Order: sequence, then structure tokens, then C-alpha cells
Amino acid sequence: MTFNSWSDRARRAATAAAVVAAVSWAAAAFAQTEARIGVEKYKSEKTPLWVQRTAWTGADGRAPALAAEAFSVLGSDLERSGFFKIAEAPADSSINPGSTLAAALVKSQLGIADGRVTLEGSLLNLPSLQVIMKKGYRSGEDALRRIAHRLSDEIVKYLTGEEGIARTRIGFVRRAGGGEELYVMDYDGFGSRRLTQEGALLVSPAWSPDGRYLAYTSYRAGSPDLYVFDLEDAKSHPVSRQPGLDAAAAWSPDGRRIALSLTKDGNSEVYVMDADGANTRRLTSHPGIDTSPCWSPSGLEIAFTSDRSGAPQLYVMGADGSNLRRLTFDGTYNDQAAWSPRGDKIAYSSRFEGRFQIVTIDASGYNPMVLTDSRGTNEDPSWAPDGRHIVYASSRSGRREIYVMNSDGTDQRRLTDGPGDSYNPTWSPRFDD
Amino acid sequence: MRTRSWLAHSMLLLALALIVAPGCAKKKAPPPPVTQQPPVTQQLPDTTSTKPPVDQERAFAAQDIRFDYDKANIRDDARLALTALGKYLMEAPSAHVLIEGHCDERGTTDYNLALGERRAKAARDWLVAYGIGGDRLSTISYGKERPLDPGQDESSWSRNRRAHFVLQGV
Repeated sequence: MTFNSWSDRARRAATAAAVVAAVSWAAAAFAQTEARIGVEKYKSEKTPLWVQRTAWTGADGRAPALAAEAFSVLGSDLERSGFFKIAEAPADSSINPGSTLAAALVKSQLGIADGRVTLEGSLLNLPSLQVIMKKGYRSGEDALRRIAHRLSDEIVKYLTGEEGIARTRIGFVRRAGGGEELYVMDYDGFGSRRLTQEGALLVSPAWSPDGRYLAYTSYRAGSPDLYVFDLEDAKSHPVSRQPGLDAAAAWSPDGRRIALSLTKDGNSEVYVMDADGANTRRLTSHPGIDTSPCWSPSGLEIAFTSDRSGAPQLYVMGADGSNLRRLTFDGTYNDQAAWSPRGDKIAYSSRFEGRFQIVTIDASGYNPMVLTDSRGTNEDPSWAPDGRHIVYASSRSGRREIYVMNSDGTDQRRLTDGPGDSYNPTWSPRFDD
Repeated sequence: MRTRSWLAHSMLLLALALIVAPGCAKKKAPPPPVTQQPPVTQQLPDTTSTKPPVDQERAFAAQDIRFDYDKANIRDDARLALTALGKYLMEAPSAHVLIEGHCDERGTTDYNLALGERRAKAARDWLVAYGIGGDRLSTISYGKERPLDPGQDESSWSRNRRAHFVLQGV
């Protein structure tokens, strides 16, 4: 899609450094926060950023509306990145760089030619108004959101050094009209569409690390079996059909193995198998329930839920079942471990006074921090690939919907608005398109 | 009319339960909560009005049993229903039972799938101990995904923490 990717390599070091320093400082504040379980939340400092309305060129009557959409997507993406506090910049004619604390100005321009849309974006340092980055993209009209997402990711990368998440998606289960189906939407809630026509109970989708597959448990053959939906051919294929449950699938970070919960040997135990369902190996052996495995980003460890202590708690073991340790001790019901892609935190669902809340804890087992409040029940945490955002399901509006938040609990936003209940979200890896 | 006949069955089966139920030697089973547990009929295939006594016997045999929160042990108050089912299966050797394990909504998807499986297997184990061949009993868990009662209070939750019996081959 890039037709002119002229990145300004001469970064004008002195001016850009100020922006980068401001963002790094915010990141440091992010990392140093101390919190107790239950009460404290902290504010991540955000870098102020000016975003100017998208200009348009040419005589095509659709240009103003498309430019407005591009501006909306760009502002939303930069806000959702969690790094910036966005303010609309004045038009060029009345811009006064001395009047703002913003560290940089984002400008963009849209054009239409031969049925194709072009979107050019630039980043200007403030107060010098020197251009420090320029990017341009071209796409069909229907893919305007995609190229605006791409431009946002480039800006995030330039200003913070981190990969953005604007080109990720979220898979989830929606129960509407009496049945469950697998859905997918963009990370900002747009473009929701149904993937399956299961016509049977379906739960717990998990996105493969290469983005091509969604593993899930379906009752389509009369019992709970594991399938993968292949986004390339839009078809589901059975992977594991053991007697009893085939549930709670989790892909290894290299995508070659799947950890899951099976009951074929009696009660629920955690197993690992190859991604095609071969070579099933049992990892746990306990009369209690062992389920909901998730991998550490290194692939060396697996966190899971066990009620072997008398109530569901989180445990961590080696990916071969060795070196078992208990992770959580607070509370009487801790479940649904999700290991941050950065490796340092594990998010999970914890019950407080009958309702679940999303909590993060250091992988060492210290510093549990409650991220959601008591409105409704909050379950099913899944991390964005940047390790800075968590998607989850909440019933706070009266029915279950998908929400996202920063990994410190700030900026909780709803992504879905019915119909029916939406839950079991799984965050995709980044897509390059 | 129907209630009276059903009550008569209940009393008969209560008497039977006191005689034959495994595990009842320790203490007497509490009176059956007959007024709170109407027979389940909607799952039964081939329901006809020509032979109500048989249908009602089947319906009674397939009563749900309930569980405590986050528990899968068979409660004392489940033994009457399990005994009725065991007796029915003894007398209907061609019958199979699919035992569904269910949970209330206050838990997570996958953990509740495992818990529902455990409940279904606890009921299965009880029936095997009663003398029913394991090849006639199959289990499936629906976790919290198929609640009987959509309410959000303890009375609804307690109805949803259940094993449900689907009679087949009769």
C-alpha cells in the first residue's frame, strides 16, 4: 500500500530528542508505580499531542467525508495507544506553536485519484514546526481505516520506539438469537463480523501467534471438541476430539504447540499437544481441577488454574510440567491467567464479593493490582501484543460486552454494543496489511 | 390429578430409597422437596398422552440433582432422585442416560466446563456404585453456558448448579 514511504531519516536529533525524552519519562513513571491490592490506581503520564484536521485535495465530492473519517481514525488511534493526550490543533493560518504544551503536531492530507485514496501524514516538532517524519499510503476507499491505522502505528513507533497496535484485531464469542458464534472485529471495535456458522455451543477462542488461526471449543459434533478456524480458507478443522472435554486451548508463542485441558483420563488435567493434535502429553496429575493454561512469552513456562488447595488459584510450572509453584494466595477464586507479552505481568480474573475483577500480578507473585472496579463482573483478560493493553468482558452495562483498558486499569472503553452477549475476547497479533 | 399421582410415586420411591439407596446407612434421607421440584418433561422424546404413568415415572427418574457452589459432591438431598433413576434403569435395561453437568454463572468459562464435567461424573459414579453398567452412562459438561434459570440470585443459581439426566433408548 505504501506508494511513497519517504521517512525523513535525518531526524533532526536535537528537536526529536525532546519528544522522545518526554515519552520515555512517561514510560518510567508507568513502571515505577507502587500499588496495593484493592484500592490504589495510578495515572500514567501522557504526552500531549496536537492533531490537525485532515486536509483534502481534488474536486471529488467524497473527499471531505473521507478526510473527516481519516482524522477521526487517526485521533482515536493515537488516543487509544495510551501514550498521548490528544488535542485538535488549529488550522495552519492560526497556528501558534508557543500556545501549546504539545510535543508534536500531526498533519495529514487526503486525496482521491482513479478510485484510490491517498493519505499522507507528517509529524512536526513543536515549537519549531520542523517536519520530523513523513509517510504516505494509498488504498481503495473501503480500506481507508486500514491506512489510517498504519499511519498511526508509524507515528507511535517514531515517537515512542514501540510498535503500535492499531492493526490488531479481537476475536470473541457472541451469543445472540439463542446461539453462539465466533466473531472478529478491529481493535477499536469497528468492522465486527461473524466467522462461523456453528449452530452449536462454542467457547474460548484463542488466536494463533501467526494470526492465521483461531482455536476454539465447539459442541458441533455433540461433545466439546477442539477446532481451529483458518482465516485463509474461512473453514473450521477438528484438532482434538478426545473423550470428555477438549477445552481452554492456548497456543505456544512459536505457534507449534497447543496447551489445553482434557478430561479423558478422569478429571480435568492440563496437556500439551502439537498444533495438529498429535503427540498429546500430560503435564498435571492431581485429583483437583487443572485447567486454563497460558504460556509465558518465552514458551518455557505455563500458568494454569487448579483447585488443589480447595479453591481455584493460579499456579506456574515448566512447559514440561516440572517446577510447580503457586502464584496467587489472595482471594478464594483466581482463574484465567493471561501472561503479558512483556513477560513481567500475569493478568487474571479474581472474585471479590461474588463478582470477578481483572487483576495483574508480577510473574514473581508479588504486587497484585486490581484494575477493574465493582461494576458488574469482569472476566476473560487477554493482552494486546504491545503488553500495554488488556481486553476483557464485563457485564457492567447489564449484558456482557467487550472492553479494553490500559494495563494499569486506566481508559476503560467499551468496544461492542450488542446484539446479545459478547465475551471470551482474544487479542490477535499485529497484521501487516 | 397429575400432582397427586406424582406425589404417590414420590412416597413410594421415598420408601424404596430408604431401603436400597447406597450411602443411606449413615443417616436417613431428608424428606423429598417435592413441591420445589416439578418433574422435568421438556427433554423427553416420544412423549405421548396415552401412557401418562410411564411418562411420569420417566420424568421422575430424570429429575435434576443440585450441587453446592463450586462443589461436585453428591448432596444428601440428591439421593432420592438418583435412587429413582437407578431403579428406573434397572427396570429398563435398554435405556441409556446422558448426564449433563451444569454450573451457575458465578465462575469463568473454562473452569466451569471442568466443574460441570466433575458434577456429571460424580452422578455417574453414584449410579455405577448403585449397580448401573458404566456403558449405559455418558457424561457431558455445559459449564455455565446453558443455565436453566436466567435469574441472578441464589435461588436461580442453585437451580443452575445441577446434573441433568437425558434418558435415551427408551
